[in-house]
Order: sequence, then C-alpha cells, then structure tokens
Amino acid sequence: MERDEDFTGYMSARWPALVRSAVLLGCTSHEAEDLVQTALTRCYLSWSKVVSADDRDAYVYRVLVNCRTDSARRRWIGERPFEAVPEQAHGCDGEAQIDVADAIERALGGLSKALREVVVLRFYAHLTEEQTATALGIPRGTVKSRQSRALAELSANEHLTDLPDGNNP
Amino acid sequence: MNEDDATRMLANLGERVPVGPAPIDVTLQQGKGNSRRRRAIQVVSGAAAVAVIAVGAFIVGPSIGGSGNLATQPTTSPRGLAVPAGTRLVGINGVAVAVPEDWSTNDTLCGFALSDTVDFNDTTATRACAVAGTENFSRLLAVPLSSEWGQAWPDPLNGQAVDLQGLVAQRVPAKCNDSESHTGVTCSGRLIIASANAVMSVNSPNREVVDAVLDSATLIPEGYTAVPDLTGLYSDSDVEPLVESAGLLWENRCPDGSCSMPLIEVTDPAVGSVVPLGTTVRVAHRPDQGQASVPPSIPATVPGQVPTAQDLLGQWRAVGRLSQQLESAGYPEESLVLEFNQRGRKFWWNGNDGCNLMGGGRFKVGADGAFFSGSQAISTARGCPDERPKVVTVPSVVIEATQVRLVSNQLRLFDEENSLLATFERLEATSTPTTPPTTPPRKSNQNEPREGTPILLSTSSWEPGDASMAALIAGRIQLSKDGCVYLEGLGGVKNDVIWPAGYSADVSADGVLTVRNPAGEPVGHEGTKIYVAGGGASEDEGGISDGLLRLLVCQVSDTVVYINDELPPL
Repeated sequence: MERDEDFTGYMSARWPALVRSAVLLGCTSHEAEDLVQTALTRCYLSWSKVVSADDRDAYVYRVLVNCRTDSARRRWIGERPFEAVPEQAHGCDGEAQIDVADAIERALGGLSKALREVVVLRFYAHLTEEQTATALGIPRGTVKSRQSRALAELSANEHLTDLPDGNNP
Repeated sequence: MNEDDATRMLANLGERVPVGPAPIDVTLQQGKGNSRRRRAIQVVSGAAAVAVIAVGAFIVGPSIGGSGNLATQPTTSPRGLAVPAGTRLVGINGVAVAVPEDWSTNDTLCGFALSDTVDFNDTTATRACAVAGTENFSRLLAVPLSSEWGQAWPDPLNGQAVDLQGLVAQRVPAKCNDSESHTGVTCSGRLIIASANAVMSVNSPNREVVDAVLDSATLIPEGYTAVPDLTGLYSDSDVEPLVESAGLLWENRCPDGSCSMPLIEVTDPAVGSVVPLGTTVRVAHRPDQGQASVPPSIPATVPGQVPTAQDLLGQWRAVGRLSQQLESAGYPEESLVLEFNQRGRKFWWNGNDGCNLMGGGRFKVGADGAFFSGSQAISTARGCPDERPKVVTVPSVVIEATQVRLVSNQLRLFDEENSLLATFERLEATSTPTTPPTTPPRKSNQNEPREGTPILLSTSSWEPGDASMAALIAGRIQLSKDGCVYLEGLGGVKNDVIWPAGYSADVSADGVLTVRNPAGEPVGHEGTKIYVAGGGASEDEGGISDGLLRLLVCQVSDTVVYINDELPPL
C-alpha cells in the first residue's frame, strides 16, 4: 500500500504539468490525458524503478516521451447544444488570443520532433539540461545544441514574427 | 528569442490547456489489472510451450494476392501460444483468434463474404450496393469496438461475461437463424473485449465454426503485435501513427512521392498477422499512372480503346443493366448521370446516388487504362428517406472501377477482376473545363450566379434561429487534394465541416476555392480564417453519429465540426 500512497501523491502533484507538457509536445488535450495516464500506469507497474531512479521526474518524462512515440494521434471535441448562441461568442479579444495560441502552436509544430521535445522539457517542464538528457536518452551536449537550434528557429519563425505588436508571446 | 522568451511563451500556451482532475483511482485500477494480465500470459505461455513444439515453430503468413509484388514474409508463431495445425492467428488491438489457414483477407462486398474470409474493415458495406446477400461463407469481422462497426452492436448488454486471461470480455453465444433479407441460414456470435477496444464477430453457416473461432480467442503475448489495417490509406501521416502504435516499422514504397496517388492496397505481413514487435511492414500501392514500381492489377485484357482523362470529360448517362436497375427501383433521372470535368490541371468526377448524397472526387486514367477514382466520398443510401431498394449507384460503380475503356460511343467501367461494372453513353458534347456539373436540386439558391465549378459541400438543415451549439470553432478553410472542403484547426488539425443550410462552394478556373452563404455571397476562400459557433464530434470522443456521417459528402478526418453560426460575407 505504500506504493499506492506514494504513487497517488506523485500523480496528484504532477498530473497538470505532465498533461500540459504532452499537449505542448503535440497531443490534443484529450490525447494528452490518455497519454499521461498510460505513462503513469507504466510507471506504477515499475514504481520501484521510479522510486530508485536518480531523478524521478526525468524517469517519468522519459516514459511519457516513449509512450508518445508509441501512440496514435487523437483529436478533440464534444459539445452540448444551447438554445441560442451567445452574442459575444467570439469577440476581437478572443480572436487575438486564438491567433497567438495558433501562432505558438504552429511555431512549435514547425520544429522537428527532437527539437520540440527539448524545448518543452527545458522551458515548460523546467527540467535541467541533465534531466532533459536523461528523459530523452541523449547526451547533455546534444540537449544544449538542440536547445540552441530550437531557439534560433523559433526566433526566425514567421508565425511568431508576424504577430501584431502586443500580441507577441 | 532567448530562454526567458521561450519559457514565457510555453507558459502562455500551457495555461490555455484545460486539465481535469488526475484519474488516480482509474490509473491504479488499470495498473493492477495490467499486473494480473501479465501474470496470466506467463501462465498460458508455460502451459502451451509443448503444444507449440508439436505444431511447429513457424506459420507461413497468408499470401498476398492481387497486384502486390511483395514477397511474403514468414510470420513466426508467438512464443508460448499453441496454434492448431491448419490455422493461423489473426489479431487486433492485442487480441487474436485462430482461423483456418485458407481463409482469405478482406474478401467482402456490401457486407457479405465472397469467400471464407477475415474482414478488418469492410468499407464496401457502406456503399449503396444491393448485392443479393448469401451466407454461404464464413466471415470473421475483427474491428475496434470504437469503430462504426463496433458500435453497431448493442451486444455487450446481451453477452455473458467471460474471463480472457485476466481481461473481462463479453461473449455473445452463437445463434442461428434464417435471414429475412438474405438467402441461407447464418449463425453468428461475438466476443467483445472493451478494455482492448476489440470486437471479434463471426458469421458462418456452421455453428461449430463460430464457436471454434471464438473459443480460440487469446491475448497476444508481450513482444508480439497484430499488423493494423492500412489498406485504403493514402499518406505517411495516416499510416505512421497506426504502424508505430502497433510497435512496428514500415517501409514506404513511395518515399520520394513518386506515387501520385499512393493508396495502400496490400501489406506484408497481411493485416491481422501476429508478428514480433519491430517487424517491418511493407506496403504496396494501388497501380497508378506511370508507376513501373507497382505492376497494374489488371492485365490488358479488357476490350476497348484506352482513353485519356481528357477523353472522358463531359456528361455520361448509364445504360444497360445499371440503368435498368436504377429506373426500376424508382431512382431519379439525375442518378443515372456521371460527369467528368477538369479544374486547372486536375480531373474530377461527380455522380449522385439518387437519394441524399452525391459522390465525387478526383480521378486519373493510367496509360494502360487503369482508373483511379481517388475518392473518399463514399456514396451511401442508408440515409434514404424512402423504402426504395438499395441498388448499385453510379458513385459506387465509379469507386469500384479499376479499369476504363471506350467502345464506340460507350464508356465502360470494369472492376479489378475485369468484370464489366457499368456502361455509359455520352449525354452531350465534351464539356469545357469550367462547365459546371449537373447536380441534383439543393437547398441552396441554385439560380444564384456562380463564378466557378461547384464542388460538394456537407451541409445541415441548421439555419439562423435554430437551437445552436456554442463552442468556438476556429480554423482555416482548406481544400483537400480529393476536393474535400475542411477546416484546419489549431496546430494544423483537420476537421470535416458540416456547414449551415444553403451554403455552397465552388472552385474557379484558376483554382480558387470560394465558400458562399445561401445568398451566394463569398464568406471564405482557401486559407481564410473563420471564427464561428458550433460543436463537434470525433471518433475518439464518443464517436460520430450516423446522423452526422450521413451529412458528410467526403471525409478527411475522424473529427467533424458542426457550424451553428452565420459567416459574415467577405
């Protein structure tokens, strides 16, 4: 039962960040939840390895990345009908926000899978270079070089540079 | 951009992601279930080892017929599973059954087996054809529970819970009855494994066959997997996730894009084969114009002159058997008409099923007369409002055709076995590339002036003032290579669109797509961003209802968005 308690505590704490990381890696939100659940189920099955790992987060992210590689892409939606469409369903502010999100999404989508993984793990999951290297199973030097290339590509990405002033992420 | 910018940017995007509560209980339950399943497999493996030795270590996979020029790879029997002599394992989503070795694969038409067969995706069953169904053959239908077929049976409520090596399954015992609509006696039984998202359904004239196949159900041992169904897919983006999620590698036969219509026709190992993880799946594509790497499936034995695509332009009317069937069944005159036209450098066909939908898409004619409809717009008469017999329709014939010939003034379409599918006679002089096709009356204002060639648009009966869904749908209007108008959502995700009543679309001679409101006013072009209210459904989130599917004239995605809003004119 100690395993269950330990696992429950970890899952409660890390669930949001893991799901959002999966989305930033390219999953839809629902796919991300399924993916993270699958990854955590695998971790649960080998919880002793997770606990004994030098870095628990790096281990879990590694499982997550591997699961993503294995998984098929899924899509979204499911809505309930309403009697009337709200008058302000899509005002200008909403559109601008969507444009920004869209631009970021497209910019990330323009990165290769390898670069995107490094960007998300380093700058969203806030893993260190060492942790990122462990999670991705690559040398630390490769993490640094990919990070550098990814930032350079994002800097030049037209989706981000085309955003109007004030909307830059 | 520096590290701080990247951190801020990703935080910005991450904040937008709604996250539900962590499903801790479910995950724990799943984890404990997986532990039990692993143990069960180990027990079975040990018990069956002797039997495997007796049967032999190898099963030769089923040969690939038709045009495939692939040498069949031998398929090793999963370690620890006894496969009875004379049978082979076929599987889906981690579950397998043994079927007689001589059963074919996907040899079905209109939902009926043409030989004893294993059927993984009976796409022909959705076509509006009226094959006189006979139940002389046995058929295993192996599909995901989440698929349209899987959802079609309410059986889980009628089945008996059985234990499948640690997984709970529902077994619907074999039941035999006389079919009212088809000849012969058929017996059927099913095994539904919800946790594996798999259904194994067996039909046979012989009850023992049904029982034997279902009794043989087993979990695919770790280290092995079943080859997914890739037939009918076009692109790497469709194939790759399926192959990778099955733990397989694949060899793209057209890595340089040399197959202009790389529709996958066969795979090796065959779909459903149980193979070790990491096995390379090779795919062969349907013959296409100028593709020396894939031999044509039909030898040049079909009589008549080989036409070019240009030769087909214009309107044709069905004559002979097809015409008689449609007319005697009460189908309208426009359902006899087949039209070929050209937009820019691309060729398109149109036909309607005389009911509620039209079929159409791009087509090609090979130098050897090979015909490729390139359409995902499957015509279906299931949504017909009346009781007319469901007969072969013009769109279903075009989709089925693999060869085309001109004989005198007649156009003849042949299937892959060189059988004549239908004969047409020219209805008028060759059309110009911009001549609009004949279309059945639509709800849109047909008399409104149109600047280009109309293309099919999925519409609903929704009009302003009707009850609406209020989700914000945002994306760019796009046109697929098959002539399907879809919405590219955030991140490039494709969504099929059902537009409000009266909306229409056309493509100008220079290839510009325009979507129009009921008044004929342009509301969008290819690439136009739209922000509208509506809702949607996806295969992964509860499935797409038959009602929505009937509205789709073509499909590029497994997600459908339903627009309940007016688009402002440009």
